[in-house]
Amino acid sequence: MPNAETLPEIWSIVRDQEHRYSVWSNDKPLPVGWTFVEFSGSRDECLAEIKRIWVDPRPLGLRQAMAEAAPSAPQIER
Amino acid sequence: MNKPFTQPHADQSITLTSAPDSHPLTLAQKRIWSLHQIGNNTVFPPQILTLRWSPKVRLDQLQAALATLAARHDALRVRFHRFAGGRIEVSAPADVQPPMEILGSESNPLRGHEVEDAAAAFAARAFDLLNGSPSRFQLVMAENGLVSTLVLHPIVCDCAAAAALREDLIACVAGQELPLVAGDFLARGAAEERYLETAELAASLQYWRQTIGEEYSAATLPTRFNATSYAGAARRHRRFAIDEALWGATKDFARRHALGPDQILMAAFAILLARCGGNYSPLLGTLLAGKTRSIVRTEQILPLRLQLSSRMTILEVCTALRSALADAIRNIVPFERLIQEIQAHEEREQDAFVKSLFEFRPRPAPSALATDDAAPAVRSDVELALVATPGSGGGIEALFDYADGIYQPELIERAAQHFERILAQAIAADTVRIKDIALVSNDEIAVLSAPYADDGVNDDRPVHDHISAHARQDPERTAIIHGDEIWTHGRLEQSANRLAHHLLRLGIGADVSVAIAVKRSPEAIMGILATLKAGGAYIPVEPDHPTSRNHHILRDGGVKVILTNSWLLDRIPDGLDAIILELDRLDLSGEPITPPDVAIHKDQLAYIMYTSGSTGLPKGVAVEHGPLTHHIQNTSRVYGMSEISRELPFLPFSSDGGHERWMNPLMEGGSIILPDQPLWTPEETLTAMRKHGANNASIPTTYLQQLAEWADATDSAPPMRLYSFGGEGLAQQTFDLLSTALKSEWLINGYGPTETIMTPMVWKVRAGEKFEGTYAPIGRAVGNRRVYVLDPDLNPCPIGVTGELYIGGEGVARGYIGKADITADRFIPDPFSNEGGRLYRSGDLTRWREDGTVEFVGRVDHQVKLRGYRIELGEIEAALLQDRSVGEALVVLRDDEATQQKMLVAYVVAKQGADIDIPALSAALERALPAYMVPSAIMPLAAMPINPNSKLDRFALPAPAPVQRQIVMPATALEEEILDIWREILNVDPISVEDNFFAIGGNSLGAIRILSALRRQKPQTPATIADLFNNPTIRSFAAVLEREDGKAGSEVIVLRASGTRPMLYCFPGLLVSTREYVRLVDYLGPDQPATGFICYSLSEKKEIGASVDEIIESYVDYIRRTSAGQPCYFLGWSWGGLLAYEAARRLGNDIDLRLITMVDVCDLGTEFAIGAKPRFKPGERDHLHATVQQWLARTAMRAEWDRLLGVMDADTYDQFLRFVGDEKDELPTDGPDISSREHTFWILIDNALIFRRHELKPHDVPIHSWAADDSLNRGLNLIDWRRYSPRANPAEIISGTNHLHVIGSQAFHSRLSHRLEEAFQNLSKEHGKVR
Repeated sequence: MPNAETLPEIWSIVRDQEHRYSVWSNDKPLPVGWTFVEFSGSRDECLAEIKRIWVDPRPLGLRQAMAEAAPSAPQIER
Repeated sequence: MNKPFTQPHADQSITLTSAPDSHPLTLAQKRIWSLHQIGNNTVFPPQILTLRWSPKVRLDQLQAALATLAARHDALRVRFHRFAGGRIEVSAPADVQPPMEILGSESNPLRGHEVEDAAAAFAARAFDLLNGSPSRFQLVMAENGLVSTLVLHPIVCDCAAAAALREDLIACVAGQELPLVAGDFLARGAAEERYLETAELAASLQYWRQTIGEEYSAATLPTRFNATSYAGAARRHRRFAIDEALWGATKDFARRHALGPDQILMAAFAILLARCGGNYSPLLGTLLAGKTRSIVRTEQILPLRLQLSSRMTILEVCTALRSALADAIRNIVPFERLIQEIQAHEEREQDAFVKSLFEFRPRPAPSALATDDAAPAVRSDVELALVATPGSGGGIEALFDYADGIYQPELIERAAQHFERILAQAIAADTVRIKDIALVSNDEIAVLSAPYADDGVNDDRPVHDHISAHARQDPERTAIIHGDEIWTHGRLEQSANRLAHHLLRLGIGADVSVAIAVKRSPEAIMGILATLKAGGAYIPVEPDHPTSRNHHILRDGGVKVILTNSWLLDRIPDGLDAIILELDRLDLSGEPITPPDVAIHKDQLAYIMYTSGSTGLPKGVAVEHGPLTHHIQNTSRVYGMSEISRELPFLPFSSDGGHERWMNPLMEGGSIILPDQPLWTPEETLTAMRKHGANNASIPTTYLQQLAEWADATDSAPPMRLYSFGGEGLAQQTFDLLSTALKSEWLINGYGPTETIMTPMVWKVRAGEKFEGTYAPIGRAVGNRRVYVLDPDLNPCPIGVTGELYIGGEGVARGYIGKADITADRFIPDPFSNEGGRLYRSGDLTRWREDGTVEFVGRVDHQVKLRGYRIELGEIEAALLQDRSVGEALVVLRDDEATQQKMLVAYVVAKQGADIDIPALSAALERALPAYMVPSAIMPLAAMPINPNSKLDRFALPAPAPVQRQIVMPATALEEEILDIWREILNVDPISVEDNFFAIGGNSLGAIRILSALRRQKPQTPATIADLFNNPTIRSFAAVLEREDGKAGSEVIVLRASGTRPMLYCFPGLLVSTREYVRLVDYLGPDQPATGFICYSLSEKKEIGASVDEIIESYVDYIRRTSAGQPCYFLGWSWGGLLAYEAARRLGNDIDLRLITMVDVCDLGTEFAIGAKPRFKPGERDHLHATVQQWLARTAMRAEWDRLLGVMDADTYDQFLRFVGDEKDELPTDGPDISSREHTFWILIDNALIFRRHELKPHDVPIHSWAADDSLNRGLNLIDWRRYSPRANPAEIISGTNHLHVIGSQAFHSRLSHRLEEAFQNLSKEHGKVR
């Protein structure tokens, strides 16, 4: 089954409250809980940009909790 | 004109003494005649027109009107004539009227339902086309007026014509003037014959070949599992309505865009097919009705090929339709001719190219004089038809007419609703695209996606806290049984606590990972718990896995500490920035036994599980504590786990499912029996269960079959509460076996990608549950999850429609370690959630079942297309794995230099200690799968080729090659002699004396040549072709020749010697050997013995002008000798049907013949029938005669031809000349070789002379017959056995095949098998009674 999602159309980078990133077609209403990040292009372009900007995989809540618990602890790099 | 002759048939009434002015039939009429001939009146049902007249209409008015109509329309007066050899022509005498019956009277009218009953009984009467009229009228005097019923045979009238007739009748009764009509009924056949010879037609055929192509795939709705084995002639109807408001809106929309409203309906149908069939290049049909007022059959199926995309609006679909329709009309070709053109491949069965048909019927103009009272007839030569007619209520009355058994009735039921939804949404605004249309309502989505009902409330504490709490409560309780070792909950807790303290000091904390490089053991579990307690994330590393893979995991996972054993140190790569702890050498006695005080955030990582994708290196899937603990708690409730649970987890620790299955019992305070070896034998497994009192077991699907087989054979399964399994598709037969053999109350089939945490979906059933499908269902979601089956536009698929599985909710992983882009690609925003969240795209094709559970169909990337069929490779692999000896199976579609063409190749690896019998496996596949799914080659491998990442290396799969043969040299002079002949004739070298003749390319003609060569060298040899077929190796054949007991010289081929069922005698067709029956006999299985007779034209005893009686002589003797007094069956194909019938008649009560099965048995063509006088153009006869004489002077077969021509009388010679004149090719001169065209031609003429003298006489014998679809389309003169035996049935139709290939058609095999089984059951019942 050809995946129509990969057909040439405009996609955007989106992010949820926990700062998880994904991509969404501009063609469809944005699902609840997600906001647009200022980046649009092909699906692959969006994914490449996410690879660049999403450096901390931890959900926002955990980042904050860890920062509070040990403000001086080194950030885990991944 | 031909002189009609006295046909020597049982039915003497067709004798004609005078020749009316008669005309040929059209192709459509010939097809309907053939169907009528074999007793089928469902494909083209009769046209029935029932009208209730207003009380003021009088009987004499109606009678007069009918007389007027009969004079006006040839169709109402036609008569059919059978000419010599069976050709049918039609005439329309001026002075006849259709028969009319009048029921009731003014004084004694029919009352209430008597009227309907009378009309129904009248309509149900069969037509006798040769002796009567193809139409009849009934007038019923009812209480409140007259009711008239006209019944017309479909050969004279289609739907549009019936509507025209209705209009004429009403106008006539009203006394109106009728418009002139073209009296073209009789001329249409000849006109069509002329058209079929034109260049215009050739160009149109070219257009269709290009448009439809070879790789077509007809649009249709999803069919049910194993649809071909259910398909029968029966039809089902589903009526539904489009209400006035929607139809009104449709008409407005159409008007605004200058379209016909019927086009909008057709576009909605195309959209339905695209959305539900997933085919956006649909090939569908529409019925083009005639526009004439004359009564004729003119309707045509027009195939329409559309190129759609889900972004199109309905207007764009209409544009595509309009252009396809215009092209189709420009290139119109009789459908019967088109089928022959498109489905021209002789070597394979072909799928229909129109499976879905749209038909719009205008509403009959309402009349004050009469109201209509009958549902119109629908032709049913396609699998699915949608017929839409404007109804009296202002809306549309629609009907799905579909083949019973092909589609689930529930699916059609919903398709009706979907059609309405599509129409309503598509016309709501001009901008609505196909992808914007919702087929499934929000309420339905909510129900379908819902998880298992679960009222329990989850506790947010992490998994290890739950386990810890049980240890504190009851430390002496058993936690782990491992060989002779028993770990209590207390011991596990204390050890884990000590290690946790140690890990904390090494810097383990939130989102820091610890590798568990220890084999499955209590220590491994202890190490995992310690990691969790310290706040870290564990990564299981199997010490046995390839070093390169482990190295990648340890690096990629950013491992800070590696837990291992001293004896495994050499497996740990050097150069890692990690602390290695050897558990067996670690002294933790100084650490506290109490749990460390570490707070766990719900979002911090619990584990990272490495999973192999289809490409590249394994990816680490990171899972957080919150979803994990909730998942395990939900699973506990679905599985019914408690502190008394004692589970045997057999899943490996390298899969996340393996971890679920120890966490779950321990978290409930229960225990596990941890196998002390990577693999136990089934015996060891069952013994351990019994010994330790297991009540649950979790087993990899790949191991289940062995376990169940062992348990079944030894009856050694202990009673269990629950088995859970997963990891692979579970085939139906395996499920049925374990369901009976394992003595378990519950069975759970689990499914889940690592990315959605352990087992996000389960199918939980009682043992004994049945299901329809290749694989066991994967059920529904567990816990805080929902699952969706979505199309590529993320629209939910209706039940039964295949789409990709998406899993969303809390129970999904954080993502892939270090791969933000792949995480964003696979985890997408959840459009169905009201509170945010992500959906994981699984890559698995699935569909919702009727009960809302999900069925696994295959991998998205595992579906291929071959010759127009969509093939799920997994389905073939599942069939291969059904074989007990097959351990692993892989099927690929190869299209490379080695194969030269697209072909399916299967690779199989034997189970340990087993040998795979490739021919037997191949035969089993032919029984289990449709022909197009049977691999062209099955290649046994010692092991599947693996690349360094432990993934299958597809490039290393060997090309299919002829199996390496062992060459056995001849041992005797005779063997040597035969070997030389084989080499020369088969052109194969080397040949082993044990090679099977047929396996190395031998066929019937080769066999004959071998015999002739042998006879040249040894003139006295008695060997026959049957001897060679029965002894198909050089060694066995030589042995027969050397035997002195006179066994050689046989005319009989043993197709299968053994079996308890009555013998099946197979009679050969003309020019074919009985080898063609081999596949059929394979299909019927080992219990059905079968014997074949050598084809007469290949027989040594061949004589010129032998009669049928002489030919069957030896068969009859043989059958009498071997089956006297015994039950047996006959099978006759093509002309063999005649031989079978005559043999049955001759044998009479000497044998107990239970059933004759007849396959596509035709009468002779018209050419050589006695009395048929051929027509010649002026001078043509002399010219042909001269041609034949010149040819005879040149041919090497002069002597044979002279003998044949010598027995012909003058009329017959003229027929021969006509035959020669009608042949497209030059007369052949390549004889007398047995494979030459000339020899074939000679056999054909010789056979025609035998057949023409033969008369079929009635004989009371059970006959079941079948006809190939293509033979009907060609209007072949199939024999209607009901004319000869009172115990014959109307023939069933085998679609997608022709006269030559029907014998190998699987659809035929399954139906024949069914009939033989039926006959056998009857026989057994009788015997039961006797006893």
